[in-house]
Amino acid sequence: MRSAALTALGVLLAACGPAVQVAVPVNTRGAPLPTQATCIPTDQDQYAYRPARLQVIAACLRITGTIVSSTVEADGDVHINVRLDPDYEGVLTPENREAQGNLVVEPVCQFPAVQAEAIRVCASDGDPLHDGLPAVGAHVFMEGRYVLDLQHHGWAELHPLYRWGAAP
Amino acid sequence: MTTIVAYALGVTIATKVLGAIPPPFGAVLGGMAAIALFGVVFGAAVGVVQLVALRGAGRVRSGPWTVTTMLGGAVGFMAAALVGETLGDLISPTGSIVIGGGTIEITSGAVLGLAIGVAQSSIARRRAWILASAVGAGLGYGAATAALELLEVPVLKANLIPAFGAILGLFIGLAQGVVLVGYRRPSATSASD
Repeated sequence: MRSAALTALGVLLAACGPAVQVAVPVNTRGAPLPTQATCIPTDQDQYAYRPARLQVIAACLRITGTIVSSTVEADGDVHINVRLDPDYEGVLTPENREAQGNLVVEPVCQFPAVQAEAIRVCASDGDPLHDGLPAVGAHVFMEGRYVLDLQHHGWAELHPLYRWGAAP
Repeated sequence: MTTIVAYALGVTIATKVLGAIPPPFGAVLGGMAAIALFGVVFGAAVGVVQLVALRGAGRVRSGPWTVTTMLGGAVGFMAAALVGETLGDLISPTGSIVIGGGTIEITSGAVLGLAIGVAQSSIARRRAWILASAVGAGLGYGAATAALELLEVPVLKANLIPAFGAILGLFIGLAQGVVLVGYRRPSATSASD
């Protein structure tokens, strides 16, 4: 129910315009998910190219889950699909079905970009994520900006990824 | 075939060169300087490889061809970045990704091709070269972006950078080839074969 309300709110705000911080996300049981209190953004937000496509829900969100797949993209980002642990499934929107029910996580400027916009943006990124990337099958925590990707059905993402590590 | 190899090599070498420069380059001089450098290196590689076909087919001086292609690459990539960013702000992201994203990518590519076409046409002396380059690059840039994002083809994913250049080069080569067919004669200065 709360998940549906969050989704409806996201869709409504998507129609009103991009880049508005709107709500503290909750899990499927209605409990608030940890955001700014335990999760600190880095400087990577400015290096997500074409920012109007990303509807910000929370400045920073921490989740745990298992890496399902990881692929490099032409914009230099990595597209990681994460199967969320049950406590965090509430951050997904119905549109995440397009991502096989996974949360999409995108560390930016990880590889050389070939798209013109991304080349310019990533060339200014003096401090991209240096933690390496988790292997498929790893159980990890991840912290990043919680957004809806309006160009991809409005599915939920962590974009950019700020940090990650082995889940406790 | 020459143009496919030229563009694949061009983006591969350009990304290597840009990647070898320490990050402060971008932070201090800004992204536009970096993308200009990317375009210059890309143009140099494309120009040199295309000369293999050009010198065998006609009378083109190697120096001017390479230099103009470098200039076209620099101006083209800078303009494509600006156009892409501007359209990204103007076009609603909530619409169809095929229409919205496709418009951005195709227009960015067309601008890149236009710059390269204008630069090379000063040597090739064919006005249709400009239109062919713009149309080919627009379609190629859009096709490359779509194919690499939407198709789960392992060989493309594993060779993403040269694959992008090869798809871009395929479309530009085909479009420029159409122009060459119309002008083919013994003294032709062919860049695509």
